[in-house]
Amino acid sequence: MIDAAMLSLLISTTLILAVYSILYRENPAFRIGEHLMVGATVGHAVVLAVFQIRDLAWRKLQSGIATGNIAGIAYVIPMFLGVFLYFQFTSKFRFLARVSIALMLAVGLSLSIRGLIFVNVIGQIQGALAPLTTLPNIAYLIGVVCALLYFVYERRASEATGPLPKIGRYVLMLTMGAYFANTIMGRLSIVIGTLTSLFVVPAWYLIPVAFLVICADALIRRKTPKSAKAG
Amino acid sequence: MMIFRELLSRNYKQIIYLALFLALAIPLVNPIGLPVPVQKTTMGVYNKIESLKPGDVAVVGSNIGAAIYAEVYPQYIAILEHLFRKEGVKVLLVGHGTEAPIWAEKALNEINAYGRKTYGADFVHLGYIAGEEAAVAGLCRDIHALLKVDYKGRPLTDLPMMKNIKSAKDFTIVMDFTASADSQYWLNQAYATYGTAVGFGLTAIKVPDAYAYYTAGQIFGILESLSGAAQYEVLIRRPGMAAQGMDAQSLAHLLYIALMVLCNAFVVMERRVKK
Repeated sequence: MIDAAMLSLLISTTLILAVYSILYRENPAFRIGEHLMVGATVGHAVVLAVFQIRDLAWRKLQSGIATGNIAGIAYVIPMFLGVFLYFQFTSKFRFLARVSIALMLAVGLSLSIRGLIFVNVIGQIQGALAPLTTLPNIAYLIGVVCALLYFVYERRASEATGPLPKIGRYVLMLTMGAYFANTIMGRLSIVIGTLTSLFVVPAWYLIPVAFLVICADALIRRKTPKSAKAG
Repeated sequence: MMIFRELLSRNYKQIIYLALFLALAIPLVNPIGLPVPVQKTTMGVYNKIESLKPGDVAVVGSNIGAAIYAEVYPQYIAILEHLFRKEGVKVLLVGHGTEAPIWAEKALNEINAYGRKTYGADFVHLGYIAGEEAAVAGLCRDIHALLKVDYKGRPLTDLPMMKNIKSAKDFTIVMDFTASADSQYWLNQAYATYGTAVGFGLTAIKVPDAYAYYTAGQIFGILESLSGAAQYEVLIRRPGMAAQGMDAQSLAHLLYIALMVLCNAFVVMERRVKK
């Protein structure tokens, strides 16, 4: 007897295998999996967005109207600003969308600027000025100075700094290498996570089935003449 | 040699995929049990959570979605498990991504949070809050002005834990699990403005960015992808999905190194033959 949990496991396994079938070649199963994934994610996001408008604005507006509270009634302003964003699609009223976008940018910038300066400028300089008592601290300071010197494009200044910008270039290359290695590790982790969910009964049984389907398709394609494939 | 060269070429990339599948699948079915050394960044998170006292508030932010669950979800589970073991520590769950609440509820059920702790008194799930950095700023400034209800629509005023938690001044730590910019939001709004201790659980690609904050002493620790989760599982003695996957990851890395060496050796040999 198949219960709901097992059915959901079988559906998810089938979809995982359908998506991974792209490693063999482009095929309809992959397309179905891809479209379902995008559709489900967007659908879920739209429903949540509607709930957010309801909880963060609509209910507060309703209670503001009921009690005569101005702060509550003022929620009508962001709701209108949100609607204005859709005027981006009309040429006549596009300026209204610009009002909302400008306001969003201004709020975002003013919110983050203080923290960004404190965290990314002051905090980083403080961090780089650690006591030079340990090898990592010395390497850190040299790395920061050399990497910054690499971006000094003024000719006389770069001549005066000698080989330091070149060291900075190697530091940057090492950093890029770390990024790339981490990307590989991340992608592998995703595959491992997916395989872990595949290697459970009854999901496990679908793997040889998928493998056989791919083998059969490869055999059929091998036997089909090239002209028929193109047609 | 020509056969090997042909197999490693782009025309037969499926052979490499198959080798990778075997390198990952074999240790998952038959674990080798390779040791999992614990990094300083993971230890930083563990020590911080260990130092929490009864009454302290831990905010657990997340942007977990289907795309990053394999890397970040095991970290999330391990941290929640550790927090729930700490007697009297209050846990506040917040979502920055639309899918985050689903994963949060899945994690809470997986560690039996509703069975071992009292909802509203020991932990609260606020759900997804739209607004990116503005939402985090709002949470840090005044939670009750931003939100009236929790994830399931219960009024915050009915939840005893929330009576004493009003702003970031009441947060002891913030642990954010993400692959995107919301880790920066917590640094900007909670750490820079209120001095709240912040730590990250990240996907591998985000880790080099976060190291700059760690070495500067701005965050107390980082959990780095699946390996960070595995290390944490070892520390809290709760082996799970991450620890299981580490053998597979090590073997896959060995395969990558072997392939790189092999391909480069072929290129060098080919050049010599041409000369």
